[in-house]
Amino acid sequence: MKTYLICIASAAMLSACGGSSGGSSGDAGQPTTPTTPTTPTTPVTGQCQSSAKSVQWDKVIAADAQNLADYQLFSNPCDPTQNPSARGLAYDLSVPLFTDYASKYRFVFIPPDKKAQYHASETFDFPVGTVITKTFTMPADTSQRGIDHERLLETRLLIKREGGWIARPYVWNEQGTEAQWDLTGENLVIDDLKHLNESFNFTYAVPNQNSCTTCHQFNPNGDDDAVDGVDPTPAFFRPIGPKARYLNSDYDYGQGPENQLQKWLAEGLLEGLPASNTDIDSTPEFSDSTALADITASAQLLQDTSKAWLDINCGHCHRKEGQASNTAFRVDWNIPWLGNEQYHGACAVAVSGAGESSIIIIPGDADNSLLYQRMHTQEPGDAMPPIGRNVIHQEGTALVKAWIDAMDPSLCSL
Amino acid sequence: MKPTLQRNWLARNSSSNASFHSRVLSKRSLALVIAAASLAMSGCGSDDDDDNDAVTAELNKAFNCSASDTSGQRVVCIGSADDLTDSKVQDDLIAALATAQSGDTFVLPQGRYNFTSTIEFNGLVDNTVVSHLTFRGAGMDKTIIDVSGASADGFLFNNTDHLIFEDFGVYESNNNALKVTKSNGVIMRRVAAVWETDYQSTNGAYGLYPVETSNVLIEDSYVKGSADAGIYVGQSDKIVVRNNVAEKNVAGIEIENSTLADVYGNRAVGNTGGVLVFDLPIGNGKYGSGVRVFDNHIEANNAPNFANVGDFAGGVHIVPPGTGVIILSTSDVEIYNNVIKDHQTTAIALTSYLLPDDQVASAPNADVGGLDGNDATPAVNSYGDIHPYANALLDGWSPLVRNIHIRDNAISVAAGIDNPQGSLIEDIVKGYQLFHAFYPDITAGQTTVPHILYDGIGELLTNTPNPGGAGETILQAVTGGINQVAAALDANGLESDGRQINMALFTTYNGDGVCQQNNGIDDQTLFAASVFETTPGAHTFDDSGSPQAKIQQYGMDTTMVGRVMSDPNGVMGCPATPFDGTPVTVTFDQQSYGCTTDDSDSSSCAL
Repeated sequence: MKTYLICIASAAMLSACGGSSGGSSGDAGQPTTPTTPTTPTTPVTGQCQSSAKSVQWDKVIAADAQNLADYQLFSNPCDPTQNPSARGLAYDLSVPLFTDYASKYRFVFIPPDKKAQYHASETFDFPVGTVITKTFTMPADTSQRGIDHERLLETRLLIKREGGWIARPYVWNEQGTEAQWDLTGENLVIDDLKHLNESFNFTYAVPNQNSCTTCHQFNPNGDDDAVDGVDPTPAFFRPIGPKARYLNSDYDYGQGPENQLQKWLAEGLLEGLPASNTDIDSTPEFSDSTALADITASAQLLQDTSKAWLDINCGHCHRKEGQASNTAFRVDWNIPWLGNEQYHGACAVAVSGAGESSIIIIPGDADNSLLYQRMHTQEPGDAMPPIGRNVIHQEGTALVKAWIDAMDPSLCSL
Repeated sequence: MKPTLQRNWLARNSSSNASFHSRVLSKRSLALVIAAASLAMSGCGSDDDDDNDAVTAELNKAFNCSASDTSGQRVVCIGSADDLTDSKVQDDLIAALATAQSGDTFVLPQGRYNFTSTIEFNGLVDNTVVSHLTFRGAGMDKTIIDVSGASADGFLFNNTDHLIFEDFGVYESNNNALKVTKSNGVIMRRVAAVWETDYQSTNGAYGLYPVETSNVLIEDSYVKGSADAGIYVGQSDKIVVRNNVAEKNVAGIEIENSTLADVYGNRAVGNTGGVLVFDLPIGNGKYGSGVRVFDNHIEANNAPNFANVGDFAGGVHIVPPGTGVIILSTSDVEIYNNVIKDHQTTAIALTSYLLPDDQVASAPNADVGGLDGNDATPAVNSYGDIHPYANALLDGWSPLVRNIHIRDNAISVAAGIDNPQGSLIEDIVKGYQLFHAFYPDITAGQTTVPHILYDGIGELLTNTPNPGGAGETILQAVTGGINQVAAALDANGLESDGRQINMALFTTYNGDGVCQQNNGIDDQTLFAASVFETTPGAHTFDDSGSPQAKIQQYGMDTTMVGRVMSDPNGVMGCPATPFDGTPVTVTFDQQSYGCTTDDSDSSSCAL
């Protein structure tokens, strides 16, 4: 049943032990790995040589490798941020999910002679054997990103088997030379992360394997079709990011910016893409370096960007098909704002357990809106999202605040 | 098109914190109230000492488990004989869930263990559906999982059918102790949810917390210290809550927006409010009815309300300290054969949603698409624009209380316990205090407010013809108006659902209101009364159209004096066939639970 390796001595205090083998102090109250982003990962020569690799598709399907390197997804086993093996392609999202200012490196690997099926509004349908990797790294200073300035934290795999998608989390050792399968999650101490002129000290939580389903479950029709408590279309597991609206944006693969969907098509990874780009949805682009003033200049852009940010950060749970369907806050991109304001939480009363406010969005007053309060706190039990956020996303909260503050208060005054 | 509502008391301004009554008491009365002897409103209504339970200080760790690999009924040991460290126990449990198979039993060792992460499960292991899981400790006081190190819930399960939790305790959660959502078949048996520090608003919200579930059994469990509700069953169907102890929570036991619940044999002591049955306008189609509360011991729920104060009209922070049972905007409830004693505000409070928020009765906005040309009127582009509660009303919610049958309860109040309070009913309390000041023949030792207190305002507005209308009542005018506007939105293509309020919910009351009979009270006269008349009389509304509480009418109507403290044959009289709830059966695989089955011989179920 156990999936742990014996930890190498120099990594005795390290994450991959999972607290199950000797060498752990046994005090679960202490985060394990003291990480110091100021000293980025320095690969040990010898272990981390680049060489031609090819994806071990059978190992991917078996999905039980203790070491991430066994799948041979990258030419350098210590660098999951570039140079994927054949049939692998990097991708980026027009609006990313925030995770404590970590950098993220995403790749999709699709077995030879197979293709993903385009979908207009939901996650693409990927063939069996597909593996998606998302690697999280922590810079010492958010103004200097890139693997040379960052510490490898974790690489999450989503693997499509016959029965559907499964999740496999791998956690990197402190030297960045090895990532091991880790069922139980880890707490990694981040000291002195520099962001603009602030410094953050916090515990970065690598979720345990059970937690993946919290965000990645999708229940068709929600519970609306349940009969006597039994849902004929139960929830299943699936990726969140690879949707047309997030991939209909440019990425520099080395020859200048190219549209990602066209690249997927050209690489033989995708079929069913509409011929005309006007038939493909897209979100505005937003990152931490986006100037808020450029967005607030247009009311429509402000609304679309905010909706996109909320969709990627909250919408996998806060929709009819998600885990938070019983709340009064729903934020899926596919439901237009106009005419569905209350559905999105405007003037709506929270179902339970509210914080200072119990109205989710008070048009014109972000400070007193529960949505903003939940985004703008680190208090356990109040902070949203409940997983993967131990720092307040300043840029995201500023965006949503500007959007709520710009709303017409008369929306609720009847 | 737009309903005529000439009564201008139908507020159009949102004043979320103004309770209905503050407008009802005129300035003159308020001045008198303020001049009246000010009561010491001390927030501490509990005689319990505040010592933390130190029973857990010395709890020996012990491993007593034999694993079994029998398919479909595996036993998985958590921890091992030679390693019972916190991290070992936590990680074993997480790893066991990551590799769980249907039918697994996870055996937790004895001892107190500090966890740093939420134990969660979402019904899938490698995308295979997994159900029928049992979590078993060595006893609710022997196996204690301290989840204060986890950032959110202690245990969180969703989409997992047939779950059994038994014989362990979840302590000090930052959020909820044990939450289960979207599951069919949930048993919580001899489980404790505890916050050791009393009356602390930073304690977690809910203890035992099934929500959006069906076939739920909670029995022989213990909840203490939650800053919201100790046992809370919400948006669920087929529920039995029996033989539990809930103490020192804001709400001891709460059934909310749920159908078919039997709550019996429980002890609710020392909470702010003992047993709550709420039906809130949550807008997801789940509204409650068919709750029976019987053979419970509900005593001295006089704790301060230490909930986090939000501005949610129906939030638990509104619970008046010193209330035994509260029914809020729920219909079809039977409350019988309970012992309800020593509550300093009232034994049983029943209220429509108009008391926490009078906007329920506000006039709908009919400016469909903004076509009236008047920029001052906000345009109505969706159902929600019509009225603050239009979405919930169109969704099937009713703000009213109907078919409430209160019978055969033993109500008692010890001498000296008469200190009514609570912001929700502050003006009502002041009114009664004023009344007592004017009527010194209300004997000393009698409670200030009636033992059974009914708002009456929802019923009144359901029974009062709309002035200048065509025979419809005021609430029918509001709801009928919302229906007209909703239909216009559909006709204009602004909405497409074709939703309409079920007008049957708003028919005039006809013996289907709040009724009480055979309720005994020691050495006193039982007072059971409504704050407002429920059928309009000569002075029910003042010159400006605002409804006047009965207390406000005693100068105008000589018969009102006797009706302020009791409604002998009127408002709460029982019809020939009062509401009679149906026993609930909880089905869990081949087992069934409740008064119809495993408990059919119990004295509770014989009542």
